[in-house]
Amino acid sequence: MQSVPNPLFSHGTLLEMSENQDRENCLLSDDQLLMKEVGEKCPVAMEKIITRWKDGLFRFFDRSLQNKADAEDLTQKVFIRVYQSASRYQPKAKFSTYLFTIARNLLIDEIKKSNRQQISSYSDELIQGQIVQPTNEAQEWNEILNFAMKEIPEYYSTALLLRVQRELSYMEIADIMKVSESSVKTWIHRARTHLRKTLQEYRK
Amino acid sequence: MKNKNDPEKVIEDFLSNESASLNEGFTESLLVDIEKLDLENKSVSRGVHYFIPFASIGVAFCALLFIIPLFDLEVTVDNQENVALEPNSLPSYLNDSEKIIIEDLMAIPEKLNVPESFLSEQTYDLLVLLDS
Repeated sequence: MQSVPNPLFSHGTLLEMSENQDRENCLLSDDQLLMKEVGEKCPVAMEKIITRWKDGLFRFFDRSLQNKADAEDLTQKVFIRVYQSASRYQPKAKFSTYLFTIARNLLIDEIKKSNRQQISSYSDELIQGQIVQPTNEAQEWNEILNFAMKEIPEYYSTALLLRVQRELSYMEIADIMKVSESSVKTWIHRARTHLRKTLQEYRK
Repeated sequence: MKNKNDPEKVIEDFLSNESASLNEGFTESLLVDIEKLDLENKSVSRGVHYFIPFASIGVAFCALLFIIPLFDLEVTVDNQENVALEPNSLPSYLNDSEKIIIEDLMAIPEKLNVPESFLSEQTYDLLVLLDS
């Protein structure tokens, strides 16, 4: 009896499918390929992603929150969320856009929870003895800039940090923050101006 | 080259936060946490699998509870119709001719609810007869 070839699983179709898959994989970045593996519950791929991105995320959260413990906690939460949503991950944008969108959402939640934006000024806290008198100039500048960061809205600092730390384009930042490119430019400019002004005031 | 005390350099250094780094054991502990989460999720989904047969039995039982009264209702309606048509259920003091008329009327019970069915003179006579 002559067998009828199944059009779905014929050799040619399978070959074509695998070629398409290869082509698709060539277009994906390393991180996107790793995410595919994470989606298939591969712990090695997850470890690689953590190793690659943990410091970047931690620095971002550390500067945004000015608290190392919270920054570490949020970094951990980002990776857990990445792992949990890996099976649904669609490589539409750059992996960094995806990762920092999650990071920013978690940051906003954290800020809402702790109401960090309600702060007093650097000099007030220094007078009240809530912070230790800095021992050297660099440390003092850092403290002043920390307070200046607290004074600006979250979206100013996030845009600025993504620009400086991750060297993302205005377009990528706009994608992460779901706003227009011009808003991003304005926020970054205002944030820089505020930091510069604050630093100059205290240096006088 | 920018001076170390240049405000722009100070701001850039502050923002880039290069010196900040995580504990050495961060990755390992995070992977352990992820593994734990995975195990928890698996046990939850296993629990759900165990629950499925019980849930389907429960749903079937509820469906039965819902269907049986409907079936009973149909049976009762049928029985009522049968009873109505039974000649023995008519009072014995009626004549045979009257019984026949009543049986004919009872054979079409729904029509009796419609006022138009009483338009016939004979029907009125019959009702008067029954009343007396």
